Amino acid sequence: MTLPAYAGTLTSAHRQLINGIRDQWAATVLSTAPVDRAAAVGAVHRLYDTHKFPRPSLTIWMDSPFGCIYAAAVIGQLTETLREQFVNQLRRHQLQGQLGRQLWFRLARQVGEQLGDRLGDRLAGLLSGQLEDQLSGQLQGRLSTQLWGQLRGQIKGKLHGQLWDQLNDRLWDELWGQFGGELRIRLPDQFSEQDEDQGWDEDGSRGWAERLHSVFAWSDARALAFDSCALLIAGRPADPRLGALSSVVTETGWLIPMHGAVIVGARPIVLHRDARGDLHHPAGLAVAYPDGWGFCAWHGRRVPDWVIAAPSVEAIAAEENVEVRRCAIESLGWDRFIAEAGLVPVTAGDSKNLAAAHVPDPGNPGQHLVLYDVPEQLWGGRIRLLMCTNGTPERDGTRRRYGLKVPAHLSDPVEAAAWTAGLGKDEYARMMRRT
Amino acid sequence: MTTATLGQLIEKHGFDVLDHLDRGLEIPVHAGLQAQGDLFIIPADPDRGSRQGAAVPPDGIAVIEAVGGGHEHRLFAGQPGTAFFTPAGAGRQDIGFLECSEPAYIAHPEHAYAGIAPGTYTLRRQREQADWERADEERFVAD
Repeated sequence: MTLPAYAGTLTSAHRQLINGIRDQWAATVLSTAPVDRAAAVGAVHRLYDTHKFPRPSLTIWMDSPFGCIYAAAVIGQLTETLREQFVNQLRRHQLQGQLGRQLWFRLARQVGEQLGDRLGDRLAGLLSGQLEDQLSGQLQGRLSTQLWGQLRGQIKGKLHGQLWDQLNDRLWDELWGQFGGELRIRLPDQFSEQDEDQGWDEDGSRGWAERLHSVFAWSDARALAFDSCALLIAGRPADPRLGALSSVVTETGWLIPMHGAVIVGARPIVLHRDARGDLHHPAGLAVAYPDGWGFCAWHGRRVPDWVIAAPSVEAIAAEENVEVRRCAIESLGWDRFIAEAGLVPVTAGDSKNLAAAHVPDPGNPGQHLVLYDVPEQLWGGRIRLLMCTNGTPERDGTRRRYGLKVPAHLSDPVEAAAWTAGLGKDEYARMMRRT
Repeated sequence: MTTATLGQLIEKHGFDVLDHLDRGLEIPVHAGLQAQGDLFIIPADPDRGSRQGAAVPPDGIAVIEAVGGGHEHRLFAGQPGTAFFTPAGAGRQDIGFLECSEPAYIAHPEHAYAGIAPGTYTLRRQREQADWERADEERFVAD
């Protein structure tokens, strides 16, 4: 298919092209398939070949991003890492240079909008947060033993004898102390989960993936998608190095390329999301890798394990982070939260008549609406909760109860229900049927 | 006019619901305000705006899409060519404007069918107070 020439705005043919490329990368970003090692090796070789570097003599396979970084910390002081060349220099100097700054930035805006925000943008930040927490702390003994066990077998006999002797007897803490600083795997002090900007700006990406010398889909899919689109739309020839990089990101779950060695990581084995596409799992790890590394998430927020496994009002009250508290309240469930926190329904005026607080639900015969105050010190803000009952029965004949957060100034349950519908109380009271 | 049963509507429109829901249930057709889960069917002023809506095709229109394991709410015309839907545009609480000259139906696996009398309506998502940052920010409820 020949594209129409780009004259400053995208045509529908351009958009179709972008959507196709976007959808392919979206599938890669969400993939939980095992890595095909033969295909991965082939892609790695092609990557080095296109840059005219000798193929790495040592390939290390690790089962999680954390495992890869651990491996890099152990062997990385041996040699220079190559993300800078393979990714940053390619993008910033070669591709941007080919198109010229003006065209690059115009396309960045237009194509960027069309690509949307589903190419790993929101996923990478959560993963980076988890890595940061773990890398900045002391590694737990059992995990370090497990990772060392996985790594050791692969590098034994492949490293220079003296270095091997040094590594063999060391514990993680000593290794980290010796090599971690030298490798410059150090996350900046002002790092934040929201810092996902991949940098269309002149300085290029100062992303954390770069600081970890890692190449992987959640970090790089968006840029690779853009680069492919931009070259095609601008009518420039395909760059074999870009093709090789795209291929290796597709064929691996994680990559730390170095001179003489490469660390290849697995894809996640589970990846759970909610209706909005955010990482979320109410009953276990939202992301998990084959070695067990992973983390929990609630509607796009990374949360500690207890939020999912054992939420309680006590744990919630003890939690310092307000966003984690809110996730935990939802995870506990409003019914249990109301009962365990001993919440009392909002009643009109000074009336202590609790029965009056249960108001008939318009259009839902036999069911009631109740409004509760949510304690400000727990929620971290003023909010009220409208407890509703489903209009249709469950399989077992019961009716499911659910909570809706409403503004704190509402004191009438029907008015609160009306607010959720963007209606006035009187109009809502005339509801004919709620299913 | 006899009211259709759930079983008849499932057969006619080909949209199934959860198996514990009573197929003999009569589905009333209402001209007033209704709610189906997180979807509101709101009677609207017939004179509002221009109605450039597309006719609802025989296999229906998803007025709330199923995303990531959820369910959709699907709109059907009671008779071919008798219902027209104008989308409101992405990211708003209002989903769109419905006009029908014969009863129309909206189906959802958990909530069965809702019957809508001839008339004009606004279809609107349920909202709740969102948590993050802005006090006036809203989130739309996903069923």
